[in-house]
Amino acid sequence: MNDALLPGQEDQPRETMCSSCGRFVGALTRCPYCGARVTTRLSVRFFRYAALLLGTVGLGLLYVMARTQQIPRIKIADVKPTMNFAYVQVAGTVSGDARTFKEGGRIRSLRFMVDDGTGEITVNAYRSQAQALADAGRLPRLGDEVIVAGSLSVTADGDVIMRLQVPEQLIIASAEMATTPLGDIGTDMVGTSVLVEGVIVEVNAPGPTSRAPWNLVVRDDTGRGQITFWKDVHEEMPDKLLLMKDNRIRARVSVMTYRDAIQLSLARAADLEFLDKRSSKPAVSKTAGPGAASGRGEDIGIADITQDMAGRAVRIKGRVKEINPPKEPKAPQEVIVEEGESTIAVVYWDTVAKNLRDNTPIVGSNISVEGTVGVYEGKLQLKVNHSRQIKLLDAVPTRTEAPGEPVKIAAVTKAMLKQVCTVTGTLGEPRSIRGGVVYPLSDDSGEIQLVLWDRRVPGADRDKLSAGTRVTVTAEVDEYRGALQLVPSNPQNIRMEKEAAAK
Amino acid sequence: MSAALSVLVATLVGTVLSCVISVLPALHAYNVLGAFVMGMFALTARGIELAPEVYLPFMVGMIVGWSMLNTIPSILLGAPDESAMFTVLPGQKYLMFGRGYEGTMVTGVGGLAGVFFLVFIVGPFAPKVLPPVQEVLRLHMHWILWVIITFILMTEWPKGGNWGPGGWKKFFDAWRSLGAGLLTFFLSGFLGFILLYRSPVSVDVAFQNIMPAFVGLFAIPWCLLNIISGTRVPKQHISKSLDIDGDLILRSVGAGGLGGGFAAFFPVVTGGVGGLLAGHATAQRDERVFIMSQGVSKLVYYVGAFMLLFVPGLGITRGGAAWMMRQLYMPRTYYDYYMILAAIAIAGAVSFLMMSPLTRATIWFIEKTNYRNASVFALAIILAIVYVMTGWGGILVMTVATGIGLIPVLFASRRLNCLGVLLLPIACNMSGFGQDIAAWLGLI
Repeated sequence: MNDALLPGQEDQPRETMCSSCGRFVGALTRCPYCGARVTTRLSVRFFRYAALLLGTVGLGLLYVMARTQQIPRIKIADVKPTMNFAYVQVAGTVSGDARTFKEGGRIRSLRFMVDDGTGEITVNAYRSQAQALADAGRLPRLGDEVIVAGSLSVTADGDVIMRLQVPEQLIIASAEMATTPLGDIGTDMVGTSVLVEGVIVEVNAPGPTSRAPWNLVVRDDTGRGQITFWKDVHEEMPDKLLLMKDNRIRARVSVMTYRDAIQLSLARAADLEFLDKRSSKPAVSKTAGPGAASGRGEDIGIADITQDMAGRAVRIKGRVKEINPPKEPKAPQEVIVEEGESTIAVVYWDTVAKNLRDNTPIVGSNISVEGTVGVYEGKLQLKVNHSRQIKLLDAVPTRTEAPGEPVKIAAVTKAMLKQVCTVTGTLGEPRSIRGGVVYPLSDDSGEIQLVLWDRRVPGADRDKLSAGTRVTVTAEVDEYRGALQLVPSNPQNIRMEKEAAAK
Repeated sequence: MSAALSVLVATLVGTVLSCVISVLPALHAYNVLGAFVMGMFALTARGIELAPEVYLPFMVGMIVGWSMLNTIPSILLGAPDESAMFTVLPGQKYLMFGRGYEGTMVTGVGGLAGVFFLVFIVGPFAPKVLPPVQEVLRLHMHWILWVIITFILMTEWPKGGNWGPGGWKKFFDAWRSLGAGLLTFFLSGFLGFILLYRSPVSVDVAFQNIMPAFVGLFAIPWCLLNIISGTRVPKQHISKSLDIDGDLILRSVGAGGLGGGFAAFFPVVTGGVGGLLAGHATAQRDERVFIMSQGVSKLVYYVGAFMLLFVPGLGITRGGAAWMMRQLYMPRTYYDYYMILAAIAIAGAVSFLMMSPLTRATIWFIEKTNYRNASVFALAIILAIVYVMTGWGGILVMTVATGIGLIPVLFASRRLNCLGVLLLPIACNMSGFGQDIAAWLGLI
């Protein structure tokens, strides 16, 4: 059989031998001896294209399969550690209002809980998905029936989180809710979501620096309820002006407890509906919130303000009778405004006072104040939340501070910055500064710098002053390098003792 | 004392078991660890709970042993995993010159140097240094990942088109391997998107979603290639000494530590990518440094990535083993960290000591029997693991991935392009538009 082989050809691969006659044929594809076709090995090219075909067609089929595959719906209790990264669907009830976490004005993430009866799972959405849901007003609320799909994250600690990848995969199927009478809401309903309807009895706005929530006391025929919401919810309200006493509202709220009292939590502005729009007249403002634009308050005489108007925004005009600096560090500034025989206390905090600038109340000046009517310790007051709400009606050039009741120098504190006060004391040795002169002014309680600028108190008027002269000065309190100083606006605000006594 | 003994015994058991896995071509430690984790869940479900002092060192032993000893089939059987792909060519050269034993041992020295690097350099400083580094880099990961992808794709070089008259034929010849590389990257990326959002693998074992794809992309093509290839391995010489010195070792640690460390620290970047970047960054041309640094890189990548989970205050999860570990245990204290460092040191020492006898045994096996049988055996084990763990869905994914994984092998482009399965979807997700692409594809 191997008689045609040359020496050494026994070791040649089988492909070089004719499979029919067994002779050596080398690279030929047909045996030159017997004419039979010689079996050849498959070309690599064949495998190349086979691999390409397998890869692309297989991937295409896998893609079609994936697209038509339903997202598996699971029970929360069935989640196991091996299901980490699984893309699944859960259907259940929202067991906690959606909470959004913001960063730089944009929503960073959104979180809510879903309970399907077998267990509870946290659902998170991040950035663009969370923002899209918020923009579309599709934030789930307590009690909503939802179907949500996303990828699971399961850790050894047993924490199970579902990450919502597409906003459209959150389907909120909230049923039409019946109105719950306020009197029926009890502790047994804590953790549920209810729809309430009633009339606003009281609006309690937080102070400008306060972190407290807004409070609305609402009543219906069966009882009362307290609706609370945070400042960000208030900011989102398109109808802020309607937040006023006697307005009728309908709200979807979550029942909670705070310090053993039932509280109705309003999670978002869209859940509050004003049933009558009585306050839509542009000239009459019902605003009650911080930052409200000035010029919208209802013009009213001071004598006409009553305790029933608590919570209502009004605008008054009058003359500043008295300015009472804060008695405690966190207490508000009080300005007593009079109109005829009637007076009212206008109160505002440091943040407002610092921004009043030329509108800083001056005793004796005419003033316009817009604020929210309030009652404090049985006394009426007008609460001002923004510097724009106070306007000095007297022209600034004629602004001569009428002397108020003199205060001791020690009573002049940083809380009175930019406020006008009257002090009586003795001048010390002056020293020149660029653009003016500084006198130490002292009384038995302490010493303060009196700064007389050339442009406000010209040299001719200053020449009348000398060390040892006793003066009564009405001036604005200012601060320079941590030290307080008094800066009178004109020579008339500095009266020497004899002059003062004559007046 | 009993805890220390548990750690010691478990480390030794894990390391010894890794010997069996390591010498089988294409069988990855992660495949076995996946099965181990599932076994742990099954035990827990039956009320049997093992102490962390048992399973943590066991896993470390497996990872360290495999990272070190997998060099043996990489060089002697030509069946590397993707992170060892750079050792194939120089390694094959060593093998064909009858120096397979030396090539294996040189890579093993690199692995041992990698253990020293992790235990004595990274270990003491990691808790102080890595958390602030992570904090700084956290917001930049996405664009760094895109730069890496660009680098991988742009550094592919044409394997043809060098000779002959210019024209379309030459143009297509030059672009054949480049095109195959790009096609591989985007096909595997597309596969990654499908697996991330709509995997055919059952949700009950979703933590192993990507495993069948990796098996198909990397393991099976090499098994098939080994089975059908007709290469005859020449007689191997068992040398008494190694052609290396301290300078070469230090240079290897520098290059390999950089590459492996980078791969371990950055998400989705694997040892192969780290090796590629470090190779270009350090430009070490000596073949011995090249082989040894791949040993360092591979060990630092696999072991370092696992170790990062235990670094107090860092809180990052990198690499398949760490992700699987998170299902079992969440480390938080220095106790865990020191235990892992101890296990790494012990496993490193034991696995290096096993390197020489295992290499000799493998060489004996190659000379005495048809080594393709080992590939057939490994292929059977891999198929069994994929089926048992992920069912027919996994087999389907594996088959499709095999088609994609064969493209670079048959068209002479980089197998690294198969990493598109992770790189592309994760880079898109980290940049914030992964979901949009998935939605556009109709996957979600």
